Amino acid sequence: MFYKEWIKTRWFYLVCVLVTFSLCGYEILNINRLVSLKGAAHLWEVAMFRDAIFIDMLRYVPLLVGIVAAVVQFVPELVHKRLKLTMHLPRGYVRSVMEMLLFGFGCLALLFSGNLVMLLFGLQTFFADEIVWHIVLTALPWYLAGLSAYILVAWICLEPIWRRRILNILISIACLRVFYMSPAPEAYNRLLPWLAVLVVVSLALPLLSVVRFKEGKE
Amino acid sequence: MNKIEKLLVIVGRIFFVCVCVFLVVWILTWAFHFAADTSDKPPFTLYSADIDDFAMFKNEDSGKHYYDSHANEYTEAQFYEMLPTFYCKQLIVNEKLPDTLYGRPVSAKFIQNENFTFKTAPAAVNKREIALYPLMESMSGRVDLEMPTDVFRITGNAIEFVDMATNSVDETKSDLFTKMFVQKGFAFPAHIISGNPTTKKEYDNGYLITDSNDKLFHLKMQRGRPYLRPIELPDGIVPKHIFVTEFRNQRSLAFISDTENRFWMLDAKNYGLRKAEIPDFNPETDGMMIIGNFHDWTVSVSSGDQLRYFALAADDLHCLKSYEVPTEEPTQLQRIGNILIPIQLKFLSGLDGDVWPRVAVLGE
Repeated sequence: MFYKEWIKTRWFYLVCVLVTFSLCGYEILNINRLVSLKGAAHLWEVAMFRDAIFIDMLRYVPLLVGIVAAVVQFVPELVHKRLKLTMHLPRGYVRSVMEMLLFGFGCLALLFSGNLVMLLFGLQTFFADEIVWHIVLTALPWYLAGLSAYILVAWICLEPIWRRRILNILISIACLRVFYMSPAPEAYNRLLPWLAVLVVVSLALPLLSVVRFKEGKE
Repeated sequence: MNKIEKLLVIVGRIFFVCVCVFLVVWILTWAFHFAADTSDKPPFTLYSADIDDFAMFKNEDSGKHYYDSHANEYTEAQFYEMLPTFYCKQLIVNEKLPDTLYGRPVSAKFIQNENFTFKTAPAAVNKREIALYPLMESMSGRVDLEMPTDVFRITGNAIEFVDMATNSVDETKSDLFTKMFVQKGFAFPAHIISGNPTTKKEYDNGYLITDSNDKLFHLKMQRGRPYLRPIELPDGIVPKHIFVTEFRNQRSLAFISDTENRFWMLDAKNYGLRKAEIPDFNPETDGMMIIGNFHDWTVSVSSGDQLRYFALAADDLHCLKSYEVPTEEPTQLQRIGNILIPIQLKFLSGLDGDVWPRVAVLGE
């Protein structure tokens, strides 16, 4: 199952690796440019006293990647009616769909971890650890939003009933709003562990749609 | 479906119901507050020693309204004269500034030098800060203050200065300061580090720091050398929040709130503490504004919906007068909303910047 998903999505993830790592690299180069223009002390001061985090451009990138990842992985299944075939595999349809979800979730988690590691090392060139973690902790909810968006869009795609699909869209928008409620640095520190748990638990949501799909509701 | 698959589907169903309930309560709370919340600003209020009462000013649709806590009305000119230290410049223009105030000969320069404003809000106190601090040169001999090229951090066993340009620790300076800390009996790490890291002030008084035993120290840098002075506090006083004042009159070094929510002024001359005669004040939940002059301070303390004013004597901080602004009754819409949405959920609060679910039952 994992190999099938890899064949289906490998080009997409290759593009994602190129785009997201390029954007992280761009942000680091941009900081380097600002250091040479205004001096390191100025950047430290705006980080410490004016809540600047320098990587604002990345705010919605993981969200977008998560949405597109789910569309790329699940829309072809529905358009080419491959999901119906999956339902009839002897290994169990819930297990099959769960494996598909875990593949996408794992790939995105790996991609986002790579992005964060790159940011961590890049920022350490210019800033003390206190500022580096301040920035990374501010960016963490954006990456969790990306993982959540992937699961929620998969849930929407797999839903066979249109009325329910619209309800799923509304619920998903409200859920994703939670990740973008405050632009303040480190505003999510207390909530982050709980959000991470909820994102993992939400992997069970698309299964509800699959069960309805299996029951033939359309 | 096997047992695990069935369990996963059950988890999915429970999660779906929980998310739906959570979102409905959250969205209804938001819609209710969007429709029902009003923002009626309290009147500008200052203690006037002339009338021994709180003088108030409100800009209403019908025009400017000057009055006191007993509803006596005043004209604009009377209002200025009742608050001569606050409206000092206006009285100079009107040629109405007296030579003597409260039995003391005064000049415009003296009044302006003694005036100060202090403000603290829970959102600022509870804000997550980066634990790096610039230590300015306190005796540079120059008029304007300058930001240093390094910042310090206090670790478990030393004070470290990090050069911002190279992002590396200045070992020589760090050792020099650490030796002074050890010599003065500072127990690493620090609990509270408080200062005003800005050049937009008259002078620099460095930082007030408490060590791991809650002992208070005053840290400054004078001509590149460390100045660290332990400050003896009376028994039973454990600082919880410290606000370095750096007012023009140089009378106070800081305001301190302790673990028992008492509010103190730390004298700049003898490092003595003076207790402000106000009820409990917790900077984490209460806001405070002080508008002070050489004779008295007007202290406003806001706690939730409650707003109280205290007039304190500037010399010993005893309470001259107090006034509590009557709390507004909830509107009809707010009452209905509290009944219709008995459980309310918000993620944001004015007390801190954290995103965190906050549940209120029956409009608490």
